Amino acid sequence: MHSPVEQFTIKVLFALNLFGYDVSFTNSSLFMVLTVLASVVFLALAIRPAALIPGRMQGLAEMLYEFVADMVRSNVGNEGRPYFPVIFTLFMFVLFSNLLGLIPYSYTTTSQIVVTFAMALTIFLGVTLIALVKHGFHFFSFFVPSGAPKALIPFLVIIEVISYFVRPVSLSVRLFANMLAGHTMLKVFAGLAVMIASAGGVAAAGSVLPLIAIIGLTGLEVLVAVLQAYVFTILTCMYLNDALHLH
Amino acid sequence: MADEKSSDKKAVSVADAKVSSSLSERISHLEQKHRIADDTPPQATIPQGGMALAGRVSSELVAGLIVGAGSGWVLDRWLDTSPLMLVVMFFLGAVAGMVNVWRAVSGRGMAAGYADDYETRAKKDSSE
Repeated sequence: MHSPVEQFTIKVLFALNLFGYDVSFTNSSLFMVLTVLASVVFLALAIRPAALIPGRMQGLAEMLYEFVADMVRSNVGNEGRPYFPVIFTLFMFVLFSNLLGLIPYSYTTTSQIVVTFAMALTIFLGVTLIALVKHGFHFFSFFVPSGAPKALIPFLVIIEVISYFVRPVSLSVRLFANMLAGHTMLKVFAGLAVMIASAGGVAAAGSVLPLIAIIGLTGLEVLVAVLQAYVFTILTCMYLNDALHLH
Repeated sequence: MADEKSSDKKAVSVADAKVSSSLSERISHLEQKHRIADDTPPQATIPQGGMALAGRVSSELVAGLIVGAGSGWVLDRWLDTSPLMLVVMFFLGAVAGMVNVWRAVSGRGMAAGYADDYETRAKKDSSE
């Protein structure tokens, strides 16, 4: 019987050691490369006709573009335009790795906290740098809540600083936990179906029930994959908005 | 025959007018939308759908505890004050997590500050 979490094991495809660091090419790296290739190939092929009246594929690509563009415009405003390419790339990467992970026998890179935390930390550092460059020392006023009683301010500043450093953790944990939980749940139901089927006889017919549950869960997982890509991107927009317009 | 033709033409021109009016309507509608987006300072909003909000709230709580306890543990190792900082930072992390949850639920984005809420409410009250 396979363990439901066996699907998350990292397998080294070919070992590589650089300057004393283990930089082996693993199944996770393979699927990151595939994610990038898939999104680039999809977008390149979709906009290739460049028709005035878009076909299905072009319509899909334009829909994704406009979706992110609208998100940036309404959450960050005009100052957010220079950062649109980064945010769009981020959205496409998370969306495609979530969706590719739903294909049987594939691997979900976003179910590794290392991957999501690396992305979240990059966003966090980038946004903090943008705020520091744009506002200088005024940035630190961000941690002083306005309108609070004076006696409480030292305490509140500590809490604000902690809640600022919570951002990359909550951003990465959310995506990773959703993907991990969803895929584990699918595997548990699949294992249940196999176990009931192997009982043999009339009881084996009962394995239809977990199979039906898997169909429903797969639909739910598609929803979660898209939703989490959206949430990851919109939170990035919100952090960027905070950095550009200090309150 | 001639009658038929002219009525046809009329129908076409009417349809044309309809298309162009709906098109110009749509253009002006879109322009207005963009103008509003350009003029008003963006108020970041999080999707208020049930699932998005539920995921957000739980992850904020967990992340607050992780960061609080983690930084407390690191401070303990550094300052050799075990377990004082771990305990203190655990609770501060929990508080920070709850503050973030409150921000998520009240749809105020992520910024620090508590007064602006009352200011905008007071402004709204006085204008009414």
